[in-house]
Amino acid sequence: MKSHNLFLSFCCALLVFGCANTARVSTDPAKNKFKVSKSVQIPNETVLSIYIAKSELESEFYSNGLHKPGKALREGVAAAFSPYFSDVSFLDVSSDKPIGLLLDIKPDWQFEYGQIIASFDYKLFDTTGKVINQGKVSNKAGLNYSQTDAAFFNSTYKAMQQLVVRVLNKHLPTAEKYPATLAMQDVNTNLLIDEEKPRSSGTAFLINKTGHLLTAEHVIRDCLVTKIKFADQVYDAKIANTSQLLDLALLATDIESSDYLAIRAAGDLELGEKVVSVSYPLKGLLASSPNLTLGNVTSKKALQGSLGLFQFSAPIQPGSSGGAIVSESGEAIGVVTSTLNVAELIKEGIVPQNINFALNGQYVSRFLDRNQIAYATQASEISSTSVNEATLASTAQVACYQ
Amino acid sequence: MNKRMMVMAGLWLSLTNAMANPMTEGEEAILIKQAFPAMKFISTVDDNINFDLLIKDPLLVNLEKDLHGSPFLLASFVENHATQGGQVSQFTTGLLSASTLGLVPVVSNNDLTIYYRIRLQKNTISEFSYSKNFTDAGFLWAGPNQELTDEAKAWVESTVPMFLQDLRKDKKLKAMIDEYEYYFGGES
Repeated sequence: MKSHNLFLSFCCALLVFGCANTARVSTDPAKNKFKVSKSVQIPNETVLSIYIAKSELESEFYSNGLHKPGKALREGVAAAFSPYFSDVSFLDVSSDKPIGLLLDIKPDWQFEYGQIIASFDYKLFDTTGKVINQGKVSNKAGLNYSQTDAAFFNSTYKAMQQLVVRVLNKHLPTAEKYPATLAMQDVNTNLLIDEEKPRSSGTAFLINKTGHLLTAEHVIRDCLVTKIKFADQVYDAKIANTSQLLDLALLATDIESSDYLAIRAAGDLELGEKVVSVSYPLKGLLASSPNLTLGNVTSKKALQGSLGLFQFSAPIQPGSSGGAIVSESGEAIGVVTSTLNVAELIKEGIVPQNINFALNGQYVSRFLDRNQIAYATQASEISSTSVNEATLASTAQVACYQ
Repeated sequence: MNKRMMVMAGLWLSLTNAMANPMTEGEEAILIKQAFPAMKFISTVDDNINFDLLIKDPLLVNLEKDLHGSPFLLASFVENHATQGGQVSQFTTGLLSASTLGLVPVVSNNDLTIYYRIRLQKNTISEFSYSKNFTDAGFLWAGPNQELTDEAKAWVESTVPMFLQDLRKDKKLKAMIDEYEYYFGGES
């Protein structure tokens, strides 16, 4: 009877205490329940590269403390693959390191009844870009809401253990069978993206005849592939120059067009002067049409501490970032960067309307000068209807893929 | 004679090395000497205990808590992670505590890490972190305690000089300030 009571109190204690405790699992490969075929060489000398979107690898969120799922994901993947492959690294498209196999992994997290369910769609490419294996692995782990690291790590690690064994057993890779002949920088990045689902989209506008466009830097940040839709055609874009400080980026494309916007380099603004904004709503490239809105310059300054921004009232929406704010005379007087954080103010009972911010043309001009890019500074005299048409004709949609 | 020549050669080698590397090992050049631009400060550390110390430094005189428009942000936050030994100790003392209805305290051993993160337009430019190990005892019925102990608070304050020293040597931050000077240096 005493032993029964002791066992019962132990179980109760385990229940009470166990609920609040989760830790990372052991990363000893000997404990992997998925077994590698004896014909596979371990550690394997095939040079393997893994692609996971940067936004996933660096993802963080704040909820009663900072949580870092990106760090747990990165460390979980590395811990699962490192014991089996002697040379495994994350894809760096600026590196000339040669690889033999490329594994594209797309993570997805679901939260359910105190658990994290991690699912990973994957594709394995050889050096010719051919998909030699694809599928999905998933796993779950208990979630401690105050310390989520273990749940993200454990679910990743267990799923990746399954994946690494699946790859090894199915393909029996060797350095001879999959020689490292493809430099990371030569990987066809279009293979790694889903063209139907851009991670984000924004607006850009042409500034010269040689296919240069300006947009906001945050629109194209961390993009693996950037595409431009202009006049119903899709173009590849190269990020030529960026300034995080100004939130400004210059894109180089093959677009040939005589429509482009001049920049008001002097930066002088008149309070109340009428402006036009053209932007693209947040949709895929195939289902988009431009939105044109009208407004005024409402203040020459923006929030306290802001740099180089002015306020305007033309309505904007997600997807407007990077668009030009155009004056009645057809000059770009600024580039749309942001809007007031309405959600925060609504909590305080304030409902602001149309308080939007753009970077003054003066700084746009300095940015272009610094990077030695040609641009016009004086627009030809045109009517207000023509200004709308000229703005529409110079504006393009930007899509960012990861 | 040979011995003397070897000593002379050794002296010459060390002299040439010293000439080639004017800084001693582990010492890095101070790169940042001017104050940072107006920068927003946020902290999850209790009572912002490090803000008053940070703002006293000439580099961070422009630090402000309510500067909503600034593209620059300095964030400081702490993380508490149980060590492997701490997890075992927490588990066993936790079981003991639960079986005695919370009379026996739970003993934990954690690595406390403070991070100082500098961001520009919501993108991290540089991050500095400092860690120390702490052992604590607490009652199960008190629930998880998010507050720092007095000992931990004193340690958090002691990390400020280390952070300020590292801050001055950071190349990425130097480049950030140089860019700021290029575009906004002439403006008051």
